[in-house]
Amino acid sequence: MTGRTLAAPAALGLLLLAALGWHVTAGAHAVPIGAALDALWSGGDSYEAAVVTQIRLPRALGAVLAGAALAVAGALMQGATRNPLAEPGLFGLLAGAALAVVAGQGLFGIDTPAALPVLAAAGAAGGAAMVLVLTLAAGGGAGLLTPILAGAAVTAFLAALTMLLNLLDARSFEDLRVWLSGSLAGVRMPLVATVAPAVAVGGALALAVAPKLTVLALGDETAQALGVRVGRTRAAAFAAVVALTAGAVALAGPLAFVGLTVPHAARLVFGTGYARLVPASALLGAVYLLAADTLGRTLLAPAEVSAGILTALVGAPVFVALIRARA
Amino acid sequence: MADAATATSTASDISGRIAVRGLSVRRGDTQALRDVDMDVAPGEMTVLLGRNGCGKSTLLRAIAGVLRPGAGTVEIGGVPRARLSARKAARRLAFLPQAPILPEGMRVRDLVAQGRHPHRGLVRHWSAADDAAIERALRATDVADFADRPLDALSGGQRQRCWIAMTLAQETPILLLDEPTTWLDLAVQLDIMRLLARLAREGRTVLVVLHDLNLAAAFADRIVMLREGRVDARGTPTEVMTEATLGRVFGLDAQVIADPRTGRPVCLPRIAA
Repeated sequence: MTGRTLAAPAALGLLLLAALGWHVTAGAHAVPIGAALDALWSGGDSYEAAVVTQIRLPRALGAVLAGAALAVAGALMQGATRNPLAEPGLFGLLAGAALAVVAGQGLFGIDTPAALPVLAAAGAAGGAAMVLVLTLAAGGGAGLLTPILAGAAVTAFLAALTMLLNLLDARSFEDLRVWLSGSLAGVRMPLVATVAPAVAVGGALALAVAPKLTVLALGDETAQALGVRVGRTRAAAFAAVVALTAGAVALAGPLAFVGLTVPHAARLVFGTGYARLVPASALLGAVYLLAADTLGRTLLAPAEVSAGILTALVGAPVFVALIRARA
Repeated sequence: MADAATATSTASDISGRIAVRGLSVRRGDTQALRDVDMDVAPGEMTVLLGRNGCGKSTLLRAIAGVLRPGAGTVEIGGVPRARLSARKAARRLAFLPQAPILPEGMRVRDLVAQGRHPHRGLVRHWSAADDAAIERALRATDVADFADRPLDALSGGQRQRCWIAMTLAQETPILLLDEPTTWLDLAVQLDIMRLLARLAREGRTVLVVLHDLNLAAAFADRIVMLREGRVDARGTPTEVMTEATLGRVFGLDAQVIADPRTGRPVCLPRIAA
C-alpha cells in the first residue's frame, strides 16, 4: 500500500527537480546544467554564474512559491465553498490584490518589498469580500455560477480602477505593465525572502485545515455532526487563501486560472481528499508555473511572453470544460 | 416487544442514553418545538413520527447539535450536550441528515473513512483501528463489494447504505437518522430498516425520523409521535398506533389491524370509493 501511495508524490518531486533544472538552464542564454550546478554550488563571478544565481534562481524560487501558493489557494477555495469553479482570479481576489499594489505604489509611493504582500493581502481580502456581498445579495449562494458572475463584475470594476490609476501615472504604469500581465520577470532574492514567510504560514494553515475540508464536502450539517466546527474551518481556510494569494501576487502579479487548472489536474491523480490534494497541488503548481515561465522565456526568445498569458491560455479552456461537465 | 429496553446495563448503555428536557426551538416565526421531554434508551429503535412540519426533524437535529435550542437541555449519556466539544459529541452520536451532499468523485471507501474524523487529532493519526472500523462498517452495510467505486456511480439504495456505513464507522453508541428510507424502493427500504433494527439489537441507540407509518410500526421498538411541536403520544407500536391517535396526529381516517404474522399494527387508510 505504501509503495503505491508514495509513487505519485515521488514522481511529482522528481518532476519538480526536472522543472527547476530546466528553468535555470534554459533561456535567452542557455547555461549547461553542469555549469549551472557549479554556479549554484560555488558561486563564482562569471557571466553565466551571475545569470544563474542572481536572475534565474530567484525567478525559479519565485515561480515555485507563486505556483504552489495559487494552486493551494484554489484547492482551499474549492473545498471551503464546495464550488469546483472557485479560484483566486475568478472570485475577485487577484484583481483586488493587483489594485491594492498599484494604488499603494501610485498614490502613496509604497514600493518596498516588505509592503507588497501586506498591500496584496488587504486587496485580496477586499476583493473577496465584495464578491461575497454581491453573491449573498443575489440570494444565490448555492448556485455555482452566481459567485463567478459576481467575481467577473468585481474584477471588471477593480481592473477599471487599476487602469485609471495607471493612466494618471504613466511612469509607474511602465514599471507595472509587465507585472500586471502576471510575470516573474524582475523577481530578485529580497522579494523572494519577504514573500516566503507569508506563503509558509498560508501553507501550514492549509495543511492544518485540509482534512476538515474533505469532511466539509459532505455538507455543513454532516461535517458538524462529524465534529468539524464549520465556521472556524472556513475562516481558517480564508485566512490561508488571503496569505497565499497575497504572496503570489506580490511575486508575480495576477496569474489567471492557476488555482483552477492545477487542483483539478491533481484531483485526477490524487483523488478528492484534501489531506493529499493540498500538498499535491503545491508541488504540481510549482512545476506548472516553472514550466509556464520557462516556456514564456524560450518560445519567442529573446522576447518574453508573461507566464500569466500562458496560464490564461491553458486555463480558459479548462474553465469551459469544468462548466460543461456540470451543465 | 419492549423487553430489549431492560437489557443488561453496561457502560455502553449509559453512554447511549438520550434525555431531552423542556426543549423548545424557534425557527423563524414559528415555534418548532415546545417544551419537549423525551427519553431514548439503548438497545432499541425509537422512531419519530408526525405530519410534515410537526418538528420531528427539528428534534433530531437539536439532539445532533446542528441547531441550537432556545430553551431546555439535551443530555447524552448523562452529560449535557452543550458541555461536549464538537469532536467529543461526534464520538458519542452519529447523525445522518435528510439530504447530505453527494461529494463529487469521492469513492465509497473515502466517504466511509470520513466517519473516522472525530477519532483523529493533531497527534493521533491514521491507525489500524481506523482501518478495522471502516472494514466493519463496509461489511455491516453490505457495500464492501463496491468500496472502490465513486459514489456518483451507485444507485440511490446503495448510496444510502454507504452513508449509513459512514455513520457506523464513527463507532458511536448513538445513531440519529433523518428519513433514511425516503426516495428508495420498498425492498431497499426494508433492507435499511432490517439493518437499523439489527444495530439496535446489538446495543446501539437508534433514533430515526420516518414518514411511513407501517414501516415504523413493523420495525420500531418505541414510537414517539409529535404534533405541532409537542409530544402527543409515545409507547410501543401497539400502544400508539390506534385509530384515535392516527386521527388526532395525522388527521387520518384509518383502520388499524394486526399483522397476522407478527402481531404488529398495520394502518389501513379508509379511502372513500
